[in-house]
Amino acid sequence: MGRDTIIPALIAALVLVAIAAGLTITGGPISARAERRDLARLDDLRTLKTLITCQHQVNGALPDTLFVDTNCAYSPLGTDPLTNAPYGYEKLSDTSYRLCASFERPDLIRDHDLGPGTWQPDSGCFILTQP
Amino acid sequence: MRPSDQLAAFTRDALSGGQSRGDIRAALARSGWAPNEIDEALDAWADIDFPTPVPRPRPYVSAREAFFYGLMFAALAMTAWHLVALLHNLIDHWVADPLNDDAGRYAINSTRWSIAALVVFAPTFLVMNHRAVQATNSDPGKRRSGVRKWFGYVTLFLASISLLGDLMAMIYALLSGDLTVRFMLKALVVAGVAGTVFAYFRQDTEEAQDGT
Repeated sequence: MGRDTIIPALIAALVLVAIAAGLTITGGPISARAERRDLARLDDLRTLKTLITCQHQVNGALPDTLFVDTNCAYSPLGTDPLTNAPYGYEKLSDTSYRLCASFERPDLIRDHDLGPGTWQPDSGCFILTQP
Repeated sequence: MRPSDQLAAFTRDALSGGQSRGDIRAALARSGWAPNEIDEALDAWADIDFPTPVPRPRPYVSAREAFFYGLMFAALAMTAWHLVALLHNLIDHWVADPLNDDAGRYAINSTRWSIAALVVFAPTFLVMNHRAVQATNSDPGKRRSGVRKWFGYVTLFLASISLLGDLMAMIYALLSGDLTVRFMLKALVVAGVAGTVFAYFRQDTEEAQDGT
């Protein structure tokens, strides 16, 4: 009789502890929603990167600011899904630039999320180089 | 001859020999048969006035038991599998390896699947197990259910395959340069879950010692 109740109680306790610990790592539904918004931000930054690469090829230089270039015929510049603020762009040199967004879970972003580049968790920017 | 065949043959012989149902019931009970087995043996023959025993049509396998134990043991297998997976992900997260930083989003998604599986299947298993324990305590004959035994061994087989696979993956990770602390902790998790599952089944098989 003892084993009939002790083993299920142990299993229940272990499962509860594991689920609680798992939730602290993954975050609940709200931070998962933030993660989704980060994925949308990454998508927007990828689109901007394609636009900048095209402008570099057409004009032979990186643009000074972001604008919708009819030569490259891309959709309008995206904005942040939460705040609607425009994304940050800064020309660093003739071949390198920064793309920035206010990521909500910067711990999950990796260097290669925008292709070859360097991720700076403190500023929320990727440093990208035009070959 | 299987025990249930012997019981059926004895009941038929006794009935055709003119024994009363009460006497047969008493004789079987003194020989150690459970009440539900005696009922089943006697119910196989219609209680009507006829020179020889008349059989009743009877289902061979209990569909209800097949559903109950199938679901219960599937829930146990899912719980064991995802408990191990979730604990392994937790170990990967807490015992960080500076040389291996690519866990990121993939690990989080697999952790979420395991949490979802446990939220659904762990209570399912615990509730069904509780009801099965109650049922067998009130009626020991149910432990001899062939359906229960077959599903039990199929689950044991699946759990063994899954846990041996975990063990194999861990040894591969160790050989490919994973951290030794991680390996030890993961091995402990697999041993713990496997030990619990096997303890559960040994208890079950001890209770049901008769043949197939």
